[in-house]
Amino acid sequence: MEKVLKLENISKNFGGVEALSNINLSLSKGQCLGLMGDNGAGKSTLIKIIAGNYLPTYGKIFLHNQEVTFHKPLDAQEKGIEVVYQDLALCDNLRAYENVYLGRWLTKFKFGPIKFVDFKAMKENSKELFKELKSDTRSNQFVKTLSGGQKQAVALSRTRLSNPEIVIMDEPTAAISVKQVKEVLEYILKLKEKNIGIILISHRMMDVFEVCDRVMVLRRGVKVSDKEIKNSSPEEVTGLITGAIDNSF
Amino acid sequence: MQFYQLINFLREYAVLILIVLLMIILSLASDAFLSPRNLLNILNQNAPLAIIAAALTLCIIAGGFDLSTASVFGVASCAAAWIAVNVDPLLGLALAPLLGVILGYINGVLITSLGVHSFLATIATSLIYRGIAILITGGFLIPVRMQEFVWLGRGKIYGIHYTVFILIIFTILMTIILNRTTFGRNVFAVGGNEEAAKLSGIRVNLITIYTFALTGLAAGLAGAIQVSRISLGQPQAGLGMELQAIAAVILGGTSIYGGHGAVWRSVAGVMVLALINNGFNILNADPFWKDVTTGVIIFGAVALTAGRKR
Repeated sequence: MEKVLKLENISKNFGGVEALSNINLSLSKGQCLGLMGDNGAGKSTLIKIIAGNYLPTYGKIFLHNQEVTFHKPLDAQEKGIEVVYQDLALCDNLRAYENVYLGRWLTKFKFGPIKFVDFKAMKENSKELFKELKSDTRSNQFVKTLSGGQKQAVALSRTRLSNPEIVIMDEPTAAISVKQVKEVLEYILKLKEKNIGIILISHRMMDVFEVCDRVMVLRRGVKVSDKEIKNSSPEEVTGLITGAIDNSF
Repeated sequence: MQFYQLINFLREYAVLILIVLLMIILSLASDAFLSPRNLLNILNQNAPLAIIAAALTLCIIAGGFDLSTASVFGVASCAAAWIAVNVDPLLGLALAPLLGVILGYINGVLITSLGVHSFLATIATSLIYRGIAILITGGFLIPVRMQEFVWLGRGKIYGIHYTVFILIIFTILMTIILNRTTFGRNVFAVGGNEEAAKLSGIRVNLITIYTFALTGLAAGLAGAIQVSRISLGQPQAGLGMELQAIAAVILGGTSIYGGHGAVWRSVAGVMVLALINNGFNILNADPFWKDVTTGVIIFGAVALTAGRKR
């Protein structure tokens, strides 16, 4: 299958601390990769490198076998990488539809460098997106009044604005209800059908084993496992995360 | 439920209610108060402060804080007077707002590139800018007795000062920029959650710089109006104005923590301060109580906003 994303020997140092060392990763179209590891294992650092928040200290990133460098999140976004962050990265003071279009405002007309926002279009489109996600989020509601699941819907809706090739989700099923977890997992399956590559970070073993094709385990910044999900098991992954099993490829 | 809604309504429009109350009290206390002439005078006199407060609103909504507005006002007015005397009066008036933009832009660049809090950065630049004002004048006053210079501050159309119209137009412009443009949405986003804004691809630093440049523009324009009105460039012009402007913004109900607010609120806040001032003047009351009253009212407004946050 065609590789959409490839990381080669990615390392990241923060001062003297090595957060990631020599990580290799590849992701095919329509594939879901589960990324697991304990707190501080380097999962978030890794996705932040892919999403353009950090530059790697060493190593290369390839999209469709072409080397790329992301200096800021917008660079990654323009290349078709969408991220749903763990804290959802929402602005509480704005309405749901404004958060969907945060930084990607729809505009009506331009007056020199000044662009006028098309509130109506954003509101209507967001309503549609929420409906597709089977969410009861009202697009006019302020985000601070939304429940955890509704906020999640807002964050997920953002991935639908562009035609992404890769969607990265950081703990999308933490802190939401059982029913909403099911909807998020269904959404992931739908993305796979559209041939979108997915990286799912989760602490919930069940979720990873339900929707992922591969699972990769990080421990203290080092990759200790990367294999087909059918060749692994929750017990093995738990052992790899805690260090009871040294590594397994 | 209805009681709760009433409380919310009072909180939301506290500044307007305050204006109405003050107007009722003052018109009962003095016949001179409720004349169009007195009211237009209040607007005219406070136009420079209101213009600054209007632009400062955007800066504060984006999570910034500008303590250098009074110094920018001072530099702009001295520079306008100096240029008027030495080069051309119209050029002096025209360059003052431009100088304001440049000084505001420098504020923004310093804040974002050094990563210092705007509070500290603008304390520093306010000293520098005030020093520049003194350097321009050499510590003296610059009198400008030219007809081409005083029209901006003193000119009238239909008996109403130009400055009142400038204030109205400026307020409308700032409101449109804040509420209708992508820049305005970005201002709210940066003030609401800077990290989220950054992750969404909003160029947070650029937005911050622009809000400071806008505030600088307003301070420069206000300086031009003031120096034209009194036809005298003085290095100490506008001393203390930066705090009045911030007080007016907070008094209006814009959140000092960023993310919430409106331009009209700040202009209304200026009017509350102005009415208190005007009231003490026409009632001939002990000016000592003026500061006490103003302080108590600002305190009350801050307490109300704090209540809304909870």
